[in-house]
Amino acid sequence: MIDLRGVMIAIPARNEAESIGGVIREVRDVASSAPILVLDDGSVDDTRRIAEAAGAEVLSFAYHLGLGGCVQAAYQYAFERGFEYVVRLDGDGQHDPADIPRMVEALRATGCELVIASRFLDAPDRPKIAPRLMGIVLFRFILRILLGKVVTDPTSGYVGVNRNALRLFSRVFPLQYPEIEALVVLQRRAFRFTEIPTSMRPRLHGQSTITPVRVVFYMIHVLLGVFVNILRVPAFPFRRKGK
Amino acid sequence: MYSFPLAITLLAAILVVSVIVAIRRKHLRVEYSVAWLAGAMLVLLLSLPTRLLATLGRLLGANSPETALVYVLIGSILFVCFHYGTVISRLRDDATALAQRLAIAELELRRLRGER
Repeated sequence: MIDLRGVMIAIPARNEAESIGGVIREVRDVASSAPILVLDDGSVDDTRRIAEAAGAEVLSFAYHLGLGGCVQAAYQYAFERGFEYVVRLDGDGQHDPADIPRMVEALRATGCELVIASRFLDAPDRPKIAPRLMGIVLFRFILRILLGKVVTDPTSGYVGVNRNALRLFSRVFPLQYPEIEALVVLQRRAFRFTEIPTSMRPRLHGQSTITPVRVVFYMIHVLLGVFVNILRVPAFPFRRKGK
Repeated sequence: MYSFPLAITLLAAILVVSVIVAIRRKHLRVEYSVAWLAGAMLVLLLSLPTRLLATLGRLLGANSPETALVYVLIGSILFVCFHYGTVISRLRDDATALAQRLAIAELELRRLRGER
């Protein structure tokens, strides 16, 4: 059993009343000592009440901030409270909490600032929506050029970060679609990341909000964000300064 | 000398007066009125019976004073839109930061009260 002291679990959720309770209980089963923080992004259902009843703390936002804004708040909270690691997984039940100990272990063993749970590292799961597959292939190609290494699952929302990354992301974090831009933010500071394999499960309840039009908008938005991040921060010549 | 349609002069003058009244009544902050005032004053200036618009038209390569005016109007509108784009972006960032701090403060308060 891996020691999970100093680890916080962050679960972004918006109108996930049907699934959030089950996700929290699953996380409890594998990481009973880690505090769970649900990020309630302006839900209009019972997400907050159910999450609290299941034993999680809830950061409840006054209005719909978007994924990046929620996750950054969790990183700020964790950094201020002195946590060493944060593992973030979705509130819809698609991410298997059984991988949390392996993610923390990977962060500790490699010293990387960020670990991504990848659906494509070992098992080549294919996204069901064709435009989404196009997006992943495109971003793999772009990130391979920018980062100098392959990222098999650049859009994964199942990630773990260490305290160096918490310090950075508390101040600088993409507010809309954070996954890919966050990698570029890290790379510009010469921080490191790695991937471990995972497998996605079907949503427990509800339907994905991802549509082909949204995927195209997402791709344009992220491409711009990547470009802006490169313009803002020149490649950092020194390693691991926490800036 | 090009004689400008009186209606355009009146519209520009009304816009200038409206902006000043809005500032006075605190419906508009001074810093956000600059773009509107600058655009309206420019159109007002160009509409005065001077050679200014014709000269400007030649400089811009416009084949008539009316075309030069369209150029100026489009430029003014783009400038105002860009200005408000930057203002909205800053406000959005500020609102996000406030909402984040509020959520964290609320959670800390609940913990202190022993509700969590």
